[in-house]
Amino acid sequence: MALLRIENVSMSFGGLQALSDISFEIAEREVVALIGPNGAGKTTLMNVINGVYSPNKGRIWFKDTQITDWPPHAVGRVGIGRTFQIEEPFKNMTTLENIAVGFLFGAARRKVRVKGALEEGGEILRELGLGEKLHLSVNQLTTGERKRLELGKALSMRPDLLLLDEVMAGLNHREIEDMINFVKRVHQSGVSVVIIEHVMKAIMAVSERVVVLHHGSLIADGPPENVVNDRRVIEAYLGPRYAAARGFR
Amino acid sequence: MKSWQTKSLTILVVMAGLVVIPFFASGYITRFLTAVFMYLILTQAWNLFGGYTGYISFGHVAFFGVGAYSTAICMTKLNLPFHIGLAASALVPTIVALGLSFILFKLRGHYFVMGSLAIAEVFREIVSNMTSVTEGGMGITMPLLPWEVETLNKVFYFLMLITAVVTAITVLITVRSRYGYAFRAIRDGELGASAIGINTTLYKTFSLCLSALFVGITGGIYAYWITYIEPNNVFNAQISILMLVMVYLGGRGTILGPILGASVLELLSEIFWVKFLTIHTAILGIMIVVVVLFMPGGIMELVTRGRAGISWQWFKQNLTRYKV
Repeated sequence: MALLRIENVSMSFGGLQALSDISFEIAEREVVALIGPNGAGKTTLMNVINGVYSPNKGRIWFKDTQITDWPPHAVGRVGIGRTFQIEEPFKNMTTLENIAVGFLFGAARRKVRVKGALEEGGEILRELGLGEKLHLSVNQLTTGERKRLELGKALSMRPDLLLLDEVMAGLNHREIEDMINFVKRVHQSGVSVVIIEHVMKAIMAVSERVVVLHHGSLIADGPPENVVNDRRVIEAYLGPRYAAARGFR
Repeated sequence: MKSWQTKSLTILVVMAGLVVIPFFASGYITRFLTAVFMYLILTQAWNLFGGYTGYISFGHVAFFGVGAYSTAICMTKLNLPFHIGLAASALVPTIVALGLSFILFKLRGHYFVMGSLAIAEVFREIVSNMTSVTEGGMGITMPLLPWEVETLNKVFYFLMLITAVVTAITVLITVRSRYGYAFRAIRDGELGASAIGINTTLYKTFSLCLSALFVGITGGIYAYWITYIEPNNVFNAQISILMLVMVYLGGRGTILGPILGASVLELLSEIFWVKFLTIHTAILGIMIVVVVLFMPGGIMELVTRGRAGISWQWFKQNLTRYKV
């Protein structure tokens, strides 16, 4: 059974066709990378899945429930957690309180009270290496720490599917390594992951499948090693002349 | 544990003091304190909505006016006793807030502020023109109580005091619960809040309704205390502005902040403003600008930062935070 099923989703903003007729599935415990050049529609697709936008056409199913047109909070509660490309921390709260919100309102919300949420939040932050920063305000964190907090917030919702939008952008080598390990560990704990990323090393390291978008259309879907050698993908990123020179026809 | 004990001891002493004061103090002091308590309730209630969810409301006076008129109409037109009128002053504004939330929460940021301001004016106009029910600009005179002035002073003193305590406790419990987390998350970023599973519209509505309930009750008590109300008095936009200034002065999004803000400003106005009758609104305006620019966290920020943290450097930092 597919965990997430996207059926013929189209989305346009005025005259701009941001997504046209996108269909693919994500299985349970799968890690899928979503790549494409700037403006390909990756974040738009994430926003459509997450309920920030309603698609003009098409349907989205999660665990056999249709979630098309659901508001973001309802999508979050059934088990889809997400991070934002530009982080959305609650900046007047401490790191720990940021995480507690996820416990209190995510998929596990009925089982948790404030005290429990703060305790479990501490555990997540320690796992992410933020154990020393529990009571700091978000403004006192570095970029890398903020990215980890963003991941932690999504995790604290206890999701079955995690949508990660460029969690490695702006990080240094060490931090990228750490983040790759965090994503792997999340995956091992049984969570499916959709990851938008430009850091190729990370994509090859974590993903089992790569879906490529270009100008709002799905142009490739397959194992990472096949996709990086796909003619259309190389054309999309580097132009048709480069593809021809490399001997792709 | 020790700080907890000091805190409860302080609260106990202050409360004991407040309970005995009206038995010794003059009528003037008692009435002044009653007014302070009134603003304590209003600021706590405003803060529950404006301070915690970040939606700046200039329309809270609408709930105050509707509360006042609910009590007045119940008692004069329907000849009901005061406690029924008081219940109405809690219920009607809450229902009004519920209805308004469908309209107002379509707006955000500055547009919400303008919308809330307009709502208050709309209510003033409606009440002014519904002469058959509200007597319009003639106002309503409440039935007089058969007690002596001193007894009356004490009755309203304790009524306001009890309501203030109940409000503060309710706000404290609410903001420490998951509701408080939801409100603060909404304040810090509505998109992030909804993505994490918070039904933002629901929590904003809850916050506004609870806030309106306490403001409404205060309006009801005020009407009976003052004994005469008219639209320009209980729908006066300055009441909304005062709530906002007091909360910002004390420190928004904190429990103690509104208490400090309301007490300080009421005291200042009592001492100084008699001398500056014509320009006291201007002083209010300057005050809010100064507070927002130099210490956006209000008096509470001064308190929590302690002596070491207060410096010219820090004031300058606050200025640059707002890109001046």
